[in-house]
Amino acid sequence: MTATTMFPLPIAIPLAVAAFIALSGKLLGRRFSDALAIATAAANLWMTISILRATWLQPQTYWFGNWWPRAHDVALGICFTVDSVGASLAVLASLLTTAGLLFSWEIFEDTENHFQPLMLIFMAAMCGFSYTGDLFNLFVFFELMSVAAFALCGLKTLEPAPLQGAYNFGLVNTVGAFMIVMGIGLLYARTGALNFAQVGRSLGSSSDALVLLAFLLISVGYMVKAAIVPFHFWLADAHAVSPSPVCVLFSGVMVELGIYAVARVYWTMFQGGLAAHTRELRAILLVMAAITAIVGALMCYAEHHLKRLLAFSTIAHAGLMLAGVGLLAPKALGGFSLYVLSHGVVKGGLFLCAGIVLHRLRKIGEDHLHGEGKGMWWTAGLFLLGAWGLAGAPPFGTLLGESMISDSAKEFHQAWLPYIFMFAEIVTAGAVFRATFRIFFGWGELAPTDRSSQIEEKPETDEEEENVPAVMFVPAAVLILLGIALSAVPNLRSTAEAGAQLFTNQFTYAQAVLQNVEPAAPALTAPEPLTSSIVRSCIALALALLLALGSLFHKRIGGWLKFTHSLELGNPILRKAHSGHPGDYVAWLSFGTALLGGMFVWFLRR
Amino acid sequence: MSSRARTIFFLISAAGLAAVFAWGFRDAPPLGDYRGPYGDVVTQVAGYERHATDVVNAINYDYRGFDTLGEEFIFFASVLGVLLLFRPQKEKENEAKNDSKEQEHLEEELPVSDTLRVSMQLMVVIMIVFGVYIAAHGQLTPGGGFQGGVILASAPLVVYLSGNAETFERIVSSPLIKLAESGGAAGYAIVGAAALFFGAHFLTNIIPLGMTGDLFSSGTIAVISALVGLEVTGGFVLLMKTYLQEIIVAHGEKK
Repeated sequence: MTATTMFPLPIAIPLAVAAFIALSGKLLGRRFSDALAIATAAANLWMTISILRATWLQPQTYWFGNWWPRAHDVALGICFTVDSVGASLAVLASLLTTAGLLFSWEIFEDTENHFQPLMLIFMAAMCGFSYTGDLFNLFVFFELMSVAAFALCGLKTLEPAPLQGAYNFGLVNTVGAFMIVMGIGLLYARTGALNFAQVGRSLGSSSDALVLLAFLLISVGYMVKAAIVPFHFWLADAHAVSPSPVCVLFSGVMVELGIYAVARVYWTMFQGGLAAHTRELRAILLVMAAITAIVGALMCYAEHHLKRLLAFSTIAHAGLMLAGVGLLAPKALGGFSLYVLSHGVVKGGLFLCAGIVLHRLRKIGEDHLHGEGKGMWWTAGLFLLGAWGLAGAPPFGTLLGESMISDSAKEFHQAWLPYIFMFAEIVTAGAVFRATFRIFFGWGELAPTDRSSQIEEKPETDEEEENVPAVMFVPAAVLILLGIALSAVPNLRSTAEAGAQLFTNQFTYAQAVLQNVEPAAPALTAPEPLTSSIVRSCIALALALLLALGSLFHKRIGGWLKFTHSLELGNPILRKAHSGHPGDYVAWLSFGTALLGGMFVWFLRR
Repeated sequence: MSSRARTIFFLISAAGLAAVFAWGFRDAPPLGDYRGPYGDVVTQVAGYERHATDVVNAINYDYRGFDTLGEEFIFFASVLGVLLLFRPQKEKENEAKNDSKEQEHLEEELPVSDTLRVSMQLMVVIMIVFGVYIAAHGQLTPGGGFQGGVILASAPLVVYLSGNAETFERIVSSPLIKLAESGGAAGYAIVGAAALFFGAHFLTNIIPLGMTGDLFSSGTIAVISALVGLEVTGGFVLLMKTYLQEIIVAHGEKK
């Protein structure tokens, strides 16, 4: 079987198995459903890796139903156009689903076999989302992903919080989905096409108010999923209440897919029309990225509910990833895809570690757990390694992603961007260090409390156990270590850049899809030296440690370290904005869309 | 934000958004001005290529059948999600026990006239015939699996409304309902994958297309339409069952 014929399988097989488990799960028992789901996810992992290897530097197109494009570039069917960026995201989705399903072996006694099918559907949707070459098909998989995610988010129905969190998540994301459909409608009205390549060709280098409005609506819709400020409010609420294995998928890959979608629609359809305004668009996106990184980092440090803390760290890192896309250059996009992969496994591993804490210590609030985790040295070690990875320090893969984005930023005279990276890395890694030192070492002052930390979370496992089962620990450890292993892949940076060059070339993309002309594989360029990135990230790591220690011992040391304490208490205005009220969130969403739209009108019109 | 502040904030933002929309729509094509090419091409070729007289379903189940696979599973996942969120749990079990009692209670409360009962029975027969007709003729006339399935799923609801809660319970608890739901969903993926064994791409129409206008024509379009009909019927029945149970429990709590 060639790799191309495998393209539909990572979607079709999990969907069929999901239906089978939903039907017969009760009959065959919990363990059988678990095993079948894990086997399916593992098979998906194998298939997506094979597909990645086949499309590494050679994007390939697959037409469903054999409906190849006709004369005059008319595509009636749907195609998958798989390239290295999309294919690696599908691998990440399958990997994290496998880890999440393994982790859930011990938890959720009473889900009546609805949990595994929803996880498989979620995975299938994410793979389809990464592979597709069709605007409407992208939306279908976005919806499929969302529906599965809403249900999984509200899984713990016995508490009031999960329903509230799932409700906020569902509401805000649905408003985003409306915008996407509207944008698709506008593009269809203009071009009569839904295939990325065909729409892109039809638009050519023309851009008018209608196309710009479509771009605005589609990118805002996907930015809601990507948790870009001010569309991010749902994310922390959803993460705080979701089961840990589900958080792994939300933070590790779903958010990243939102940013990926913005990149995909821009480069396949809009870049020709916006070519004259690349500079302005770059500035707008970078400002959004910086605000997201700063707000996420500040909120992250002020959280003491372990999962919410990690959730805000995801927002901060989503800002960094948006910078990778927002520079609108192949090198930065290559950095984006490396950053997504390494951040995804590290953050996934950290959420599993939070799940282990909830399992063993029955609580999740940093203020309630002071010193409780003494003796769980292995888990503590994973937390420290995870924080190391968030700081982007060697030998983690995040370093490679950061270096490519920073190098690219310098080429565009945006020398401030590396400092935003440093800031987000220092603060998010510092927060994880701080929580680890308190929970597992019992160091320093008691943590100040906050509302979400007081609400706490019910344990996900039935009985207290004296040890951490291997099905929980091993997936967490493997994920975090993969963050290191990634940087050992030879030629990683140059391959990522070459893949990004194919991704960003609208002309060869359209030729490959519509005329079946294979694009020439770009030459691998030698990567730039890592020295400055290593220096920056080591400083970031040291400062992160210092920040954490400052928070813990500010009373004893006093003086200038006091600021770490006020950082930990958080900004009251920022905190108040994260009110948990869905009406507020939708108001912010409209505000952000109007503001971004205003900037588009002002800077990007003809 | 206070309720007042939120309203003001939203209204200002919405006004800004409306301005952006108004600006964007300046360049929209005038109403009714279709520029093609998708619609133009597909209406020309669908009848000839697919032997289907309903072009909408030729698109739904063939040209863009992969989208519909995703949409079918959106529905499937939504039903699963509802079942998951409403699942009875340990702490809710007591409520569930009251469930059956309350139901009897409800029956007593609602006397149903014979006229209503007989006319409802007649209606059920008509609905089933019509639902099957719509689902089976997806390739020929407007309708298809989604629409037929919804009509079919309403039939048990009419049984319930005619006061025959026991029969309703028997119908909706039948394992056939779950089989229809899951079988229909998985069946779509399997029909798609079957093409792979013939060396064709996923969801290729591999069944002979037959005579245009015949009931058994247009190949997999008819098969998929029927499968979707099964899935939608099962899914909606499960949804109604879950919601009705929840209403009965809530009704009991109020007293």
